[in-house]
Amino acid sequence: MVWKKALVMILIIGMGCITPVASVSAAKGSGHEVPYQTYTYDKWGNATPAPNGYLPEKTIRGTTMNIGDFVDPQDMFYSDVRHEIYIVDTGNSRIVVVDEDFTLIKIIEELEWQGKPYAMQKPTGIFVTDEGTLYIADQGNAEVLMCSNDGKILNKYGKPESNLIDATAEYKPSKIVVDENGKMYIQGLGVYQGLIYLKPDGSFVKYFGANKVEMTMRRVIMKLWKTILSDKASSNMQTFNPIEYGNIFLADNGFIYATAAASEDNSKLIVELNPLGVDINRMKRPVWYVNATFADINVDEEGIITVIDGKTGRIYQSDKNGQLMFAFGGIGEQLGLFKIPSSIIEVEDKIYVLDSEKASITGFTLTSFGEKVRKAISLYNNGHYEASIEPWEDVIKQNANYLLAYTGVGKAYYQLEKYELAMESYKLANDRSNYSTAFRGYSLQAMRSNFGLILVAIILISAAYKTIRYYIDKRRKGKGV
Amino acid sequence: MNRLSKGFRQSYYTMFHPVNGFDAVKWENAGSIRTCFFIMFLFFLVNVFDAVLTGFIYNTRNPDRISIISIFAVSIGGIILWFISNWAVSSLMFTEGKTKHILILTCYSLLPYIIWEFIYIVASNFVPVEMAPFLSMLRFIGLSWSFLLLVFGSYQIHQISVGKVFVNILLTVLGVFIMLFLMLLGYSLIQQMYIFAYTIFSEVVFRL
Repeated sequence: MVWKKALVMILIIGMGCITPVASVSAAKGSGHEVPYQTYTYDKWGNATPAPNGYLPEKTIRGTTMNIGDFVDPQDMFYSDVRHEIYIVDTGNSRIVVVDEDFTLIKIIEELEWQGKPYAMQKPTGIFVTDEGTLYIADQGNAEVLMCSNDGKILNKYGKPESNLIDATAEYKPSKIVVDENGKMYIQGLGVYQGLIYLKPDGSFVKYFGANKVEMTMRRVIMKLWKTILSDKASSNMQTFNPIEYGNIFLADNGFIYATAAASEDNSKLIVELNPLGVDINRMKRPVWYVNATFADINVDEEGIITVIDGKTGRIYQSDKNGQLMFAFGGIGEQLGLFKIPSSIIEVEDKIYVLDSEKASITGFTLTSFGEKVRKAISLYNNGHYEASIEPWEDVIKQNANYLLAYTGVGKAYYQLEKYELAMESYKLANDRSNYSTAFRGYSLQAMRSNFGLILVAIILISAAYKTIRYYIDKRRKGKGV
Repeated sequence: MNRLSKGFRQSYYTMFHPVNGFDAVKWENAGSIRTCFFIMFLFFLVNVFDAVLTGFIYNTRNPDRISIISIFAVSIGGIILWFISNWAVSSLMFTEGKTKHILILTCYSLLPYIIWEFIYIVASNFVPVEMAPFLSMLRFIGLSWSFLLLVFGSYQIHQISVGKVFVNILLTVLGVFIMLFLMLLGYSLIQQMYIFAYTIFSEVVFRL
């Protein structure tokens, strides 16, 4: 009898335990469950939870394509003309070429140089032209290889020779982009003077887009010390070099976007270099920017910037002015989190992140919320201001803290010369400079439409003033003051 | 009411004629304490308006963080601290200023600042961001006018040379800081005494 009772008790307790678990998992199943919380910033700079803009969809590994696991993959390149994705499998010294659905097209492993086979040694960067010519930054061989799509090396570029380049320093090309004239921009490890800019024949032109030396308070104090100390003592102190670039990306508009490898004052984490090598980035040090180390950057045709922070594993997507659209991701094991992300590409409306430690690629797809945001931005960018208001208002309905939407509505109303509505939206977005511009338009408009009224008012007031003055003077005279 | 308006007219006159005005305060008993309290209230009010009614372009305060109590403590408390400090310093410097006159001096000097700050608040609602220098000029005019009044007023009320006036003002500022420091010290001391008393109390309660 006792046994039976005990059995019943265990059953009851067991049921009690299982039921809540079952209901929780049912709740999880009903919505999208992701291991991270997407967020944006509210108008006072506080991180605020936001609806997901992207959801992790799938993981792609080497084994899923039956080509063996990737080893320490370092770079990914997407050619939107050729509809091909190139994955640099650094540890295996090979390039894996896949199509947009990640079905294998070919593996470039053995190259051919003057009729003889030639092996890459730990390539870390790749660029592919629209014609299909590959530029591979081969760090192990300390050279950049230019080869045709079927693996025949057309040219090899070793360490460039110039007075400006330290002959004793080791040459480690890590990333490369090539402009439409065949000029190469190479990021070398430890090169802080800028990007190495080579002509198509391999001769060195100059360092491209050199960064400035950051001057933080700590460095100013150190500089003071250096003036006091002897030369020998000060030579033992840290030297101040310009910021070294971490990763580079050639955007559709021909500008080169670069991320800083490390920064002390967070001023130049993302630079946008024009053909002269001058930084024209207009972002005003956004909140999400601070203390990040961006591993890679991607810029699409709308100017939307997607970066991934190598340390926190977070993906930040922002418009070209630095207004955050989504921040998501993180460090971890689950789908949608990373260990050491190394590269990020955008393929149509999907994001793919390469993780060198996990040796896998994670794909993210846009949610309906994200789609609305993208739609509104693209409508506005193409000049359909009035049409962009509706998707923005849908976005606000789903997330009332979404500053970008308020700015978007404000901009649209401003273009439509509805300044009062624009001011209202800008106020909600806490955008003071744009508010001021709209306000100026509004006051001009008000002045123009009410000019007659203002004139009449001025005349009436001055007439009233004169009359009152007249009577006061009369009274004073009467009093004899 | 009549006395208040008379006092207010006197303080307004003092704004434009500081030497004559403060002379009248000192020798003809023209100032009034009631007006002083009114000006103090106006000062508090203008500080609240500054936080709440400044135009959106120039107001970077988070409305959720505005506390009327703290504004009150800073504005009225600031005046009182200044008054006490100035009174103490003047006593040590053996000047001729009476307590009542020092309070009147402190409050009447604030009037231009209040008026210009009010103009600034109204104007900030009607000008775009490019006009920021003009707006800061408005505030600067108010501040420097008030400072000049303080200098002339001290000269008249305390009957000291101009050099000593500046010494007086500097020492007053120092006095304010010393008082703040002492208040902080006293606050932490009282807190520790309270904790001590509370510990003894709870010990006794546990033993009983």
